[in-house]
Amino acid sequence: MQEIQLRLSDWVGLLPICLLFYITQIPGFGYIRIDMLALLVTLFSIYRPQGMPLGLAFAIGLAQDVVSLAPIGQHAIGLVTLAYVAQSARDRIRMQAVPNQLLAIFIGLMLVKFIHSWVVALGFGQIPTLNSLLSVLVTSLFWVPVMFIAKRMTRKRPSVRAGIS
Amino acid sequence: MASQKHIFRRGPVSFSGLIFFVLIGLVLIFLSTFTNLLQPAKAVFVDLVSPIYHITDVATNLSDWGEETLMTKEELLAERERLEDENLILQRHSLQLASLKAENVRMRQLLGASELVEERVLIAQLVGTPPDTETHRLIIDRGRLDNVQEGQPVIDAGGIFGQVRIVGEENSEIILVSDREHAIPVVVLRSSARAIAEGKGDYNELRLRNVAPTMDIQTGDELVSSGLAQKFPRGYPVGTVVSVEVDSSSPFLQVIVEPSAGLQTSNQLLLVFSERQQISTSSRPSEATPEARESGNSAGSNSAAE
Repeated sequence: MQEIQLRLSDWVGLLPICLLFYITQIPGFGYIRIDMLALLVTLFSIYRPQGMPLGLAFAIGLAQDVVSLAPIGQHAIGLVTLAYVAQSARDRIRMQAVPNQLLAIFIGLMLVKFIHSWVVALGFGQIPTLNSLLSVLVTSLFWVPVMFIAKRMTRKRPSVRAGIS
Repeated sequence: MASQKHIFRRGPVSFSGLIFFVLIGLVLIFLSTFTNLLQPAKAVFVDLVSPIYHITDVATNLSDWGEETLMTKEELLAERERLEDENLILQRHSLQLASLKAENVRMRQLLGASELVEERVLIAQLVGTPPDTETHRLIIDRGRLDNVQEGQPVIDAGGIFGQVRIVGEENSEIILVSDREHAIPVVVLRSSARAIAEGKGDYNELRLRNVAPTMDIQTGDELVSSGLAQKFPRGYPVGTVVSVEVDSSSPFLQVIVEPSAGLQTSNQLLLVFSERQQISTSSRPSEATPEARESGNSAGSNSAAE
């Protein structure tokens, strides 16, 4: 796939939408939250790592902490680690077809959830329930539509710099 | 040499950068979890993010509005009839309560009890639920401007709901009784045995901490707040005991309690303001506070005659 051609202005628009997505409750399934920000950080880390320095991932995580009223730093550590792992393994992930990438995405999101759980355990002295793993599974499945949209956006905005890397 | 190891171009990934940001994150988590240094910032965050929660609540509000607007005349009449019946029952309870209250005031004065707690309430509306599934917190539309204070009890129609954790200018965050961080002193109505009910991260269950096997408690017992911690007013329902089990690996009983409050269903909540009024231990019934005298005269005529 070509490099993703998203600009800073796109990020400004995407960030509040993703945050809204994160805090919106699915009626009847309040314990499932779709973490679109984690997916976007992964997408950028894999297909446009120059657009996702670790500092930006950390800042996005802080914004997520503020909006979700979680302990400050919880999401920030999760996203910065996710960005690092995704950038480290990006060549291997890029070679896979989108459905095959799901496993890697699931493992990456599990890592984030593990960090969240560790922070909760640190604060409350108890290991969280397994209910939250459903959120990881559902969020992973959203990788397919995210990739579909990213590909369409890439086609709409061809760039001279775009190319297979 | 590095370029020979990797055929593909490597991204701008830096392990030292990761360590740097993780360390910053750890410091922030420590400050946020174990100190109150970030508390003022959190109070500002509550006000900042509450409009976002209002936006996410639009779908639910629209649905509620649709249900209310599209009700038929028959449905409205049926609801009015149900409310009238409910009102009659509540009025009867209210009369009984006033009588009991007056009697209670006199008994406490006779026993030399030092204080009488008068309460007033403020209605609050639920604004949103933070997405973290491991913690049980809510945002309500009352804050410092409404004289809300940290630790203030929150109840709903069923019973104790939680307490205020962070107070913003116009909004506050409350922690539910089911949160792992929350505990409340309770008393068993039947036996007057005391215990502490703590959250276990499940909206439908609380557990009693360190219950001795000799304690008089059984399934079906009603628990009410004991008022011992001076945070919650006494006498409000907390829950019902649903199971009492002996755990061979523990010296204590495993007691599970179902919360009385509708933790996942209530949208309208009440903030309780307690006004502790000192009553002289030597005072006679006739020297009680005006409120106490009023309630005693209006509702407790039979008891007064005694």
